[in-house]
Amino acid sequence: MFIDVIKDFLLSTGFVALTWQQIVMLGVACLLLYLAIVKGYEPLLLLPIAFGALLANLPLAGLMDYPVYEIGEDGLPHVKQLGGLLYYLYQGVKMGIYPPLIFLGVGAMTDFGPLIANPRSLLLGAAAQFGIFTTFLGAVALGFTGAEAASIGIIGGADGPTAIFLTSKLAPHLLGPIAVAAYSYMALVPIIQPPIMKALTTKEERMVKMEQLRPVTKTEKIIFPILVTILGSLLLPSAAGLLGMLMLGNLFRESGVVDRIFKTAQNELINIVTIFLGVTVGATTSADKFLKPETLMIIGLGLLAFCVGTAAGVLFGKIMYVASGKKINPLIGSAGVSAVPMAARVSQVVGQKENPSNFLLMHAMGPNVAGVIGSAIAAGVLLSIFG
Amino acid sequence: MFGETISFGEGLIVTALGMSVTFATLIALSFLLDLLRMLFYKEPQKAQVQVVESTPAAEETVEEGNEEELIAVISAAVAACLQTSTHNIVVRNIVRVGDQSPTWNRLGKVEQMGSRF
Repeated sequence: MFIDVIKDFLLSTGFVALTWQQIVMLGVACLLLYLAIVKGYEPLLLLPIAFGALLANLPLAGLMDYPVYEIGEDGLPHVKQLGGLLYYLYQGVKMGIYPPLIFLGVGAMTDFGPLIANPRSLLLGAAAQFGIFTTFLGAVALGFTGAEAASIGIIGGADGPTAIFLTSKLAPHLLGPIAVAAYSYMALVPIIQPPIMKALTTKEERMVKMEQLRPVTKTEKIIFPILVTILGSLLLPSAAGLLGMLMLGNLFRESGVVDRIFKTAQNELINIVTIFLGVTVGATTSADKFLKPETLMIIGLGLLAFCVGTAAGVLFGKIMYVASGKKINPLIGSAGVSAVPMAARVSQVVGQKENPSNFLLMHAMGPNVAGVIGSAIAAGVLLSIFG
Repeated sequence: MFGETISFGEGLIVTALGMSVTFATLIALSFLLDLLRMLFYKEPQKAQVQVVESTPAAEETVEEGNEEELIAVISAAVAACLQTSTHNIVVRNIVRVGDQSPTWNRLGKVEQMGSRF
């Protein structure tokens, strides 16, 4: 009798149900936690993602379980058993609610001034999106379906919310690996980019000092978000969600009349949504979905995406260097891959190494924020083709 | 538009379409920004520029000027800061400290100076 009770209890613990795949995933989660806490790689996102991965791989906890319905006597479905906590939080990812909300906060934090002052930097933001489509082709060649390849390619946008948004619509089963790859490489931008930037430019090009940007009037800053929303959403209705929220957040900032909601959007709201997004995206990395050969391919293709995007940006920067009569420093091209503001800081650091008195940061912020708009548009194109 | 799996050729079409739409949108946007500049931005008057011409020379004299004078100034400043007399302190060594502030702060300073002169 007593022994039976103990036996039943032991059988109800997770230890018995633990599979070796889940043990591997718990190890991966702990590695990600280590990278976030000790190494400080994008901890604001990596920490919740890693912990979500930990939670999702604990057997019998059922945090991601679907609710169970049964047909009642009245012929309608009734909830027999509620789903797991993370299942409900995940609906915000699945229905594409969290990424646009994050974009609202990002818009509130972003100053588009450098872009408005130098409109040509939009071209660099467009060129760097080449990484998305090269990777897309690579994924197609490796045998992924169109929708899957599009989701893998978008890693090259170097923009977490956009990648999650597109993947949740096109290939939700790949969300875990894609989100992990996108955020890991974004954290690694300062390591991935400089060798490519140096290899593709000459010392003379890297030394170029750019003219100071003109000041931008308040009227321009207020009209800009409205203009981008109208133009972008008319051209690509599928990008309206991301682009519209980004620009709404920016209008909060620039209009200067909604100080309270501006503060909420850039602090509390984005923080709350980041917690939900991080944990639930992490929770999609359950062992049965993550431990597959495709995951390795996605991680490899993701690296390719970042490298090609950087290279395309720098090469286009070289074209602009020649076209502008040696006035544009090609190093700012690499910032076109988004990853705000890290990629811009990389341009600054690499430029300053050649010429310590050079300040490229604000010039690089132009292509950097253009990259955000560019990847949202590229995502819109892919969504309208494969959605 | 396409089936479940797509061929490499179809992929190339998607790539061409995607890149051209992205470029077209952003080029259109950049021209609209030019239009905005023409409508709402007026070049500030450049009258003040001449006044500044002589200031760099003045700064340089301080930099390369009399070492003793510089030491006297720094000791006086230290003394004032400690609320004591220069007689009570001994200056043994003065080392210039490199700029430790973050890039964003330094950039802010440069921009502030740039926009004033």
